Amino acid sequence: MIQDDREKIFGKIRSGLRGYQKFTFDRSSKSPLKTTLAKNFGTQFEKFKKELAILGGEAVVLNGHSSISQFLLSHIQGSAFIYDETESQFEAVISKIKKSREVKFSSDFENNYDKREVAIFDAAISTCATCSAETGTIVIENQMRLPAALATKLFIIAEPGDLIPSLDELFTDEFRNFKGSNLFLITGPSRTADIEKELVTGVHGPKEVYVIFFQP
Amino acid sequence: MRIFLFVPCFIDQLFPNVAVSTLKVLRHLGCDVVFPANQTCCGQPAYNSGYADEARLMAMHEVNAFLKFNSAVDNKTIEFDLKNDYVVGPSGSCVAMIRNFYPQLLSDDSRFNEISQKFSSRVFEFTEFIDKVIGIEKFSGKLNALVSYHDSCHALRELGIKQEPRDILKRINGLRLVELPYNEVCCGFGGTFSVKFPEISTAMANEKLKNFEETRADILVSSDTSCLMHLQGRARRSGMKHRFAHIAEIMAESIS
Amino acid sequence: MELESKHFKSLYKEQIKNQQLRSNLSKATLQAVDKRAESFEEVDFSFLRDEAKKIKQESITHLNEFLSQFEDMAQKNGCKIFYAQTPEKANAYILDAALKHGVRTIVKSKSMVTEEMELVPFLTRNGIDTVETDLGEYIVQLANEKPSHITTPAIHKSRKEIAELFHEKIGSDLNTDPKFLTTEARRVLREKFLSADMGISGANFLIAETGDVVIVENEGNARLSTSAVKVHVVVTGIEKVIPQFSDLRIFMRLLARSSTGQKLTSYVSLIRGPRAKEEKDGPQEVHIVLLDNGRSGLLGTEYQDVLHCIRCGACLNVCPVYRNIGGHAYGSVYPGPIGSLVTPLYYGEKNAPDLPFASSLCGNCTEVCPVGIDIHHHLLALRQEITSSKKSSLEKFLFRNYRKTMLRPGRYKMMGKAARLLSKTGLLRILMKSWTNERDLPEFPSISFRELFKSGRLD
Ligand code: SF4
Repeated sequence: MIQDDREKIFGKIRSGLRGYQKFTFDRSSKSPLKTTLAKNFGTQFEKFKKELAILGGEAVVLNGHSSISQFLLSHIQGSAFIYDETESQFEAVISKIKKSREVKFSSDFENNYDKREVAIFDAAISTCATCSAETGTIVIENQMRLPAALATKLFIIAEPGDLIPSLDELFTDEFRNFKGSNLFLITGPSRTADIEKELVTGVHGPKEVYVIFFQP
Repeated sequence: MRIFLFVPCFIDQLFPNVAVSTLKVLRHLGCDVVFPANQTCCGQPAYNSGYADEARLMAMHEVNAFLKFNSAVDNKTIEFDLKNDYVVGPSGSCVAMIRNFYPQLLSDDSRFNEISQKFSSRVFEFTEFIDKVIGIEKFSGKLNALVSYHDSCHALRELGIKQEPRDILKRINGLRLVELPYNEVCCGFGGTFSVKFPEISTAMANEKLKNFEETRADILVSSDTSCLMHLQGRARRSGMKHRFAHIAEIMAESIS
Repeated sequence: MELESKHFKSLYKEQIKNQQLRSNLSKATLQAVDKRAESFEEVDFSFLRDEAKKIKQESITHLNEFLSQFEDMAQKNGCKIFYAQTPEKANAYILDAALKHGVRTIVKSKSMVTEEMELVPFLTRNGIDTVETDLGEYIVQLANEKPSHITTPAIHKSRKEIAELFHEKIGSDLNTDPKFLTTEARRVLREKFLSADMGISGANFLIAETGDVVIVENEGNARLSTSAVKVHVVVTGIEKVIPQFSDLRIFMRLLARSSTGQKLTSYVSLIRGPRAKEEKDGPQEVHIVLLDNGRSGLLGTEYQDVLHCIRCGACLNVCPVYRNIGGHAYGSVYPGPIGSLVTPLYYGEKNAPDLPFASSLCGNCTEVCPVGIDIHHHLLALRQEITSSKKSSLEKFLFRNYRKTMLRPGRYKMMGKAARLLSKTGLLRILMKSWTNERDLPEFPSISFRELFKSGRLD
C-alpha cells in the first residue's frame, strides 16, 4: 500500500489560505440565455430539431407505433440492441423489428458479459431521461453503458414530456439525484476535428443520432 | 476648456508632427492647450519590462510635471486644476499607463496615493476625449482618402476604445474606411517585446500587413504611433510604399 | 526538476522557421477564434464569465472544505481517492493498481495532468501497453511527440504528415483524407478498447456536493475508456473541484464554446462511481488520483486565480505569439498564455525565465478567458518578480540610466538631440540591431516637438 499525501496537501492548502478572504457566491437564478423558449412542446421541439440538425442528427415526431417501427426498420440495416426499458412501452414496435432484424436486449446479457458481444450492433435503441432543446442534448441513464457508445447508429425514443427547454432545467435537483452510477449527455454524433480542424463524425461512438418523439 | 497636452517621449522626439497635429486639432475645436515642458516619459517601457521601481520614479516625476509648471511662453506658473483641467495625449498606450497603472503603482506612497487617483481620472486619449468630452459633432473635415484603421491593443482593451476613432473618421468627407480583417489582433509591437523577440514581433507585423494589403487601402491609420512605427518599419523593409499615419495627422489635414 | 522551457529562446527560434507549422497553426487557430465568437450569440458571455469566476473563487477560497466534501461523497459512492503531491507518487499508485489487477492494456483519454506526470511513458516503461485514444493524442503518441495544444494536441500537424505517419506506423494506405485517417484510427483503437482492462481519464470538474466526476469530450473515447474497462482511474488536479451540481449550468455553457465554438460537446459523462448493483457494465473500481504538483503553492498569492483555469484553450487560440511559434516552443506541458503563467508558477521562475516576457501584452487572452483570469497582467507581475530577483544585468543598468535621464528634462532634451544626430551616422542602426534586422527605423526629424513648441512657431 502506498501512503498518500492527503495530510500534507491539506496542510499546504490550509496554510496557503490562512488569512485569505473567503468568498461565498450568491447563486443567482438568472439564466445566461438571451431569449427563453415558449413553454409549449411545438416551439421546444423545433429548437431541439434545429440544434440536432446542425450537428448532423435528426429529430422527428411520430404518432403511431407502426410509423415508429417503419422509421426504425428503414434506418437499421444490421442488428439492433434494445435497452429493456424501451421494450415495455413499445412492445408493438419492438416485436415488429424483431421479425426482420436480429435483436438483443440488455436482459440477454449477464453481468460481466464479453464486450465483444455488444461491439457488433449496428444500432442501439433506448429511451431517455430527458432532452434539452437549447443544445439538442439527449440525457440517458441506462443499465449498460457500452451499446450506446459502440453502435454506429443511436435511436432515442422519447415522449413530449421528456423535453425541457434548456440546460437550466437539466442541472437541477431532479437530475442531480439520478439513479445509477452515471449520467450520460449526448449532443449529436461522435466527432473530431483533430486533423486540420476538418470535422469528421463517427470517431469512436455513433455516427448517426436519431430522436423520435412519440406523440400518440 | 483647458488641456494639458501629453506628448509621449518617442512622439516628442521622433514623430513631432503627430503632436503638432494633435495640438492643431484641439485648438481648432476651441480648446486652450498648454504644454507642460517638464514632462518626459510616462515610464511604460520600464514598467512593462518588469522594472516597477524605476517606473514609479518616472510616474512621480510625470505627475509633478503636469501638476505645476512654468509656461514656456511667458514663464508664468500654471497649476493643474483637478476639477476642470484635462490631460490629453495622442497615444492609447501611454494614456493607459497613466490612467490604469499609475494609481496602482503609486498607491503605497502617501504623497501620491490620493492625488494620482484624481489626476489619472483626468487623463484622456485623444479620440475618446473628442468623443466623450468635446463632442464628436463639433468635428468635421474633408479629405479624399482610402484608409484602414488599426486598433492598438492598449486603446482597445485597456481603455475600451473601439468606436470613437471610427466615428471620427466617418466625419471626414471624402474619406472611406475599409476594415482590416482580424482587426483586434495585435500587430506585434509590444514595447521591448519587439526587440526581445524580434522574429515573433515581425511575424506578427507580417500578418497585419498582409491583412492591410487585402483591404487595398492606401493609408493605415491608428491612434498609437508605436504600432505604426513598427508596422511602417516592417513595411518599408519589405518594399511596401503605403502611408502610415496617426489619426491626428489625418484629422489635421482634413481641416486645413 | 529542470524543464525544457528554460531554453525557450532557442526553441522558439527553431519553431518560427517552420513555415508549414505556422500555416497549419494559423488556419486552425483563426478558425477556432471565429467559431468561438459566433457561438456566444445566444448566451451572455460576460454574465457567464462573471458567474464562473465567482464559482471558482468560492471553490478555491474554500478548497480544503470542498475537497474533503468531494472526497466524502465520492467514497460513499464507492470510489477510492488518492492524493499525490508529486507526479512520481501518482504514477507509482497507478502502476500499483494496474499490477494488482494484472492489467496488460490501458486505454487512456485526454488529460493534461497525466502529461505533467509523463504517465504514459512511465507505464510503457513498466511493460504496460498504454494507448492514447483521443485522435489527436493518438497521432502525437504515434509520432513520439508531445501535444502542442491543450485541447487540439496535433494542431501542428498537417493531413499529409499524419497520412505518412499512419502509413509508417499502422500500415494505412497513403491517403490524406481526414475521414479515411479517422476511420483507420478508429479501427486500431476499437480493438484496444475491446481488449483493455484499465482506463485512464482526466476530469473537467469534480462536484463536491455529489462526488461526481465530470468528463467532457467529443469523440466518445473518454466514454469508452471509462466504461469498457474493469478499472477506471481518474487523474486530475486538486483545483478541479466545484461546489454544486447546478454550477454545471454555467460551466457547460462556457467550456465547449470557449474551446471549439460548440454549444456543448458531443458527450458529457457524469460519473458517480463504479457500476451499481443492477448495472451490467462499467468499471468495478473507480480510483480518483488528485495531484498537487505545485498548485497549492499559488494559494493565498496574487496568482491564485490561475487555479480557476478550466483548460479550454481559448487563450492559446487567440494568442498571436502562440500562433507563430506553436506549443512545442514553450518547452512545457502548458503552452500559450496560460502556460506562460502555469510553468513558472508551478515549477519556479528559474524554469521559465523568458516565458512571461514572450507576450506583447495585447490582452486578448484575458478578454476571452471564460473564468476571468487576468492573464496578461499576471504576466506583467511575473516580469517584475523575475527582474527584481536578478542582482544585476545590463538591462537593469540601462533602465536605471533611462530613468535617470527621464527625471531630468534637461538631460532628456540633450539625449534626444544626440540620438537624432546619431541616427544620421548609422550608428544607431548598429545599436538597434534587434530592431533593424528586419525593420527600418523611422526617419528622424531634426527638431523635437518641445523645441518646436518653445520656438513659438506653433502659435
Ligand atoms: S486561462 Fe482561461 S482561456 Fe486559457 S485555457 Fe485557462 S480557462 Fe481557457
